[in-house]
Amino acid sequence: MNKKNIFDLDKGFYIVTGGIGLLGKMHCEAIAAFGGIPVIFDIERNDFDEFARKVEKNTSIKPIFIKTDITNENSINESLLFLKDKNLMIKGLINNAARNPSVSSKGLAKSNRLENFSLNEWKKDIEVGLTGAFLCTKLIGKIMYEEGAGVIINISSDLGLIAPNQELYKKEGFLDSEQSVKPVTYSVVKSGLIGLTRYTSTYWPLKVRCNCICPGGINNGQPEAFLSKIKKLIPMNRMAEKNEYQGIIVFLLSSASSYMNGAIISIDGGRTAW
Amino acid sequence: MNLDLNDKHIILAGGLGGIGSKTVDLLIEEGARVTVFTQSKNYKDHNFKKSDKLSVVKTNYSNEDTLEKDISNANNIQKLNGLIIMVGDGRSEKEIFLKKIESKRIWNLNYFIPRNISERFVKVVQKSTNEENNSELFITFCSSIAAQIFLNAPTEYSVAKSALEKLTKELSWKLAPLFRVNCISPGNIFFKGGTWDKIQRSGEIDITKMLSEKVPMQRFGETLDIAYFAVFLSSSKVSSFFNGACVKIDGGQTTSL
Repeated sequence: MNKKNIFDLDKGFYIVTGGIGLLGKMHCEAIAAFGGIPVIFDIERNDFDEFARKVEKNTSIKPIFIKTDITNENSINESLLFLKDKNLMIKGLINNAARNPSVSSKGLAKSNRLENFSLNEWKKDIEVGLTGAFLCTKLIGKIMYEEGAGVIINISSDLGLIAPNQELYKKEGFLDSEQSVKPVTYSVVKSGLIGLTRYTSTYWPLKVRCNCICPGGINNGQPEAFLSKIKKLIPMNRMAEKNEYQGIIVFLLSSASSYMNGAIISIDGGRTAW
Repeated sequence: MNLDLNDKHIILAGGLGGIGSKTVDLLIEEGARVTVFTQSKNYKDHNFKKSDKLSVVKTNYSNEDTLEKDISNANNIQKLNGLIIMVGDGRSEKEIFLKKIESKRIWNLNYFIPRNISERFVKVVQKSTNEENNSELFITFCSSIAAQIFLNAPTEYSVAKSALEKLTKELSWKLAPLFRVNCISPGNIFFKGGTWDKIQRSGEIDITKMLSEKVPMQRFGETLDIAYFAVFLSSSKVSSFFNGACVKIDGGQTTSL
């Protein structure tokens, strides 16, 4: 396990869906640090150029951004065609994209109560979080299988393993019926990714491994009231820092994990250790 | 990946077995100081990679005072950072209900010895640290996928390993945030002198058929497959938020029954 040895990634493309988000950027940084070329599939470019400069400066590897709608098969195929022209193989896929109603400094952004949750919101969340992962697995998994090897990582959540504790999101001065909640789709998408992992891990098991990580929440400027409540639910008494999942991402993409397949790995400070 | 293990001090109990021995080699390669605990009389014959950071201690797992003294001695040489316990054995009789004496032996090897070593380790380390929160301290147990699915392994072995996984989860709450406690659950790992080597040589089952029917990746795992992850979990730099996890490394065997 010397540096530049077992954890080194095979030269090639590693596609990260939703790669320009908070966690997606961390995955990309980790991939580049170990010799892979991160390829971001996302609908918004946002601050990609600045991010790419930073990664290139640190690793000499320039990430690639390809505007891709992962809910649209044609859009994914066009992006894959663009990569095909580059004459490098696709070695990995991280299904990371999700519409995540994160707790901001003001709490959850809007009411997502089940009674009021619209079918339209349900469809959008499922499309990005699950249909997108399905389509990328289908199209990119097939390519990796045909090329002889590849790794898929699905990014679930501790909330793929347990129900959200809605007490965490409660704010003073509101009736129960007015309180914000973590939406139902978050649980459904994150649990669905676990099922997708199990299915995929046994579908092309001789060539494409598929594993899933279930990370806990990331410390990202949430209100103190929320932090003090959630810490009590985590044995390590804290939320994760955004770079604490980089190690497992590299481990799972590298050949060090060559016998790991179908694993559902909780990394949550112990919150789901029950 | 910089695992930041240089000069970290780790006890590896059961370090002479196939997986343990490979883990020791990797830890040494990463610059860690490793104290191997063993009960084997033949430990001097074992060929570890040569290193001045490696010590092998013949201890007595059944004598808790001896165990505590040996852990204290290791801690006095250099403050301990972690404990990996790879003691265990799945070989036993074929009866559904084992005889009491055999049942006790299996439980002792696969549950009580790991439990007792971890208890003494925690006692010694807690005494010598003033910190209350230090995710650099860790305990890693080694279970088996037999804890989670029916493998037709000896009954008491599977049940004792399930207990070990529950112990992992209990300790991950009760010892946090000072210690991170995790568990690895290997699938069918082949190594010379190991259970599968013996089964293969005995010819009692068709190994190729078994692998193609039961293991999606259709092969045995190797000792390195487990050792890499044991080393990964030893690094607080890359696994600092791992706690209470029981991670399967089984080629997908438990995914599709």
